[in-house]
Amino acid sequence: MSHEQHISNLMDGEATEQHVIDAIANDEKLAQTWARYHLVRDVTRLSSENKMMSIDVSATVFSAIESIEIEDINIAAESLDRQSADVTHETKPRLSLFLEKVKSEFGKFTQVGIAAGVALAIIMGVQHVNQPPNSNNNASALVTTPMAGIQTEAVGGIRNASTTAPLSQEQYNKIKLLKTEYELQRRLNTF
Amino acid sequence: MTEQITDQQIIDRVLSGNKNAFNLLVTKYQNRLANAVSSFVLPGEIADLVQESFIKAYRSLASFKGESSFYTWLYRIAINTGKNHVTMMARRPPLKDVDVFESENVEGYYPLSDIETPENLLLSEEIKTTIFSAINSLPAELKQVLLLREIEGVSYEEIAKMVDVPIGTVRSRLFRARDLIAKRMERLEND
Repeated sequence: MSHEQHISNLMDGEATEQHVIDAIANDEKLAQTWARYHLVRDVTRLSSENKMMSIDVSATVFSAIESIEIEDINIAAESLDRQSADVTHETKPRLSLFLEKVKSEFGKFTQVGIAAGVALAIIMGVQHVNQPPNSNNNASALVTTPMAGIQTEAVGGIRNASTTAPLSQEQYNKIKLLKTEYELQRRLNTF
Repeated sequence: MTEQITDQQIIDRVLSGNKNAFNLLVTKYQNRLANAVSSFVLPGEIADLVQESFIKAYRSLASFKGESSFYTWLYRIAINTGKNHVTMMARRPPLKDVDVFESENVEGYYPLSDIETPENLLLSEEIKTTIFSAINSLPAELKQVLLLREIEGVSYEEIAKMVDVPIGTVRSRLFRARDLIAKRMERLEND
């Protein structure tokens, strides 16, 4: 049986040999015969419905698919809204979309965590530098500065006048450094 | 056996790495798809839409599970792509400004299609004429089985019963008919 006869059988589902498909697909002349046989079918079927349009996009499609790989995505099942909302997502595999989402959500938590950590470090730093060297009050105290500007100890009970003393240049520099560090971390995590 | 089996066999070959085999699906369905989408996109956009649909189908071929026929699946991709395209076109500004007084006489903003050029329509007509002329000049026994198969879609087994010949004869008659027509088309292409 000739290859052309195989093509005729194959287009009617009467041939099952896989090597026949490879032979036709890989031989330009046989592929043309396949195309002609189908054009005859299209013309006889579509002309009977009083319409017929003949196009050939095979060369363009072939050159396009040469550089792309088959992915495990179902474009046909995607909704129209999603397609129009973000066309570029169609080309991304599901796994990378999932990882992107996780990364984005995780990034938010990381940002909040770092901000809280830096804020705590600033408070602890201020508390540490404000503590008098000969203080007999060993209880840990969380010092806060209210809107009114009067400083009180949240824990520890006794107000100490020395805690209101102005900060030295070295202490200011330390706080400034911590604030800068915090600001830098915050900006880095917004991206 | 049906054409669906043939399509699945071709898809299997593509998935196993033979990209050329995808071209068999393109040449098989491009005209049918072009006619199907011609009802909802402008004639000049048909070829682009068909091409894009095939590329999308290739990319997501691994997700084709054979629950519907390949053509049904491909058609759904084309419909979604076409609707998406139409939505995007609606957001675009017109290609040229139209005076308010002239607007009543303007049929559309878009230039004439590439497909509907007189040359292309003539080519399509020439193909049709050649194919029908070749069919009419076929010996009666070949013409009979070809029309039963291509227009009526009758199976080999049914044709064998109707014409009262063995299936092998139906198979060889179909091949001879297609081969004679294809040779006439080849001569047309070479002229």
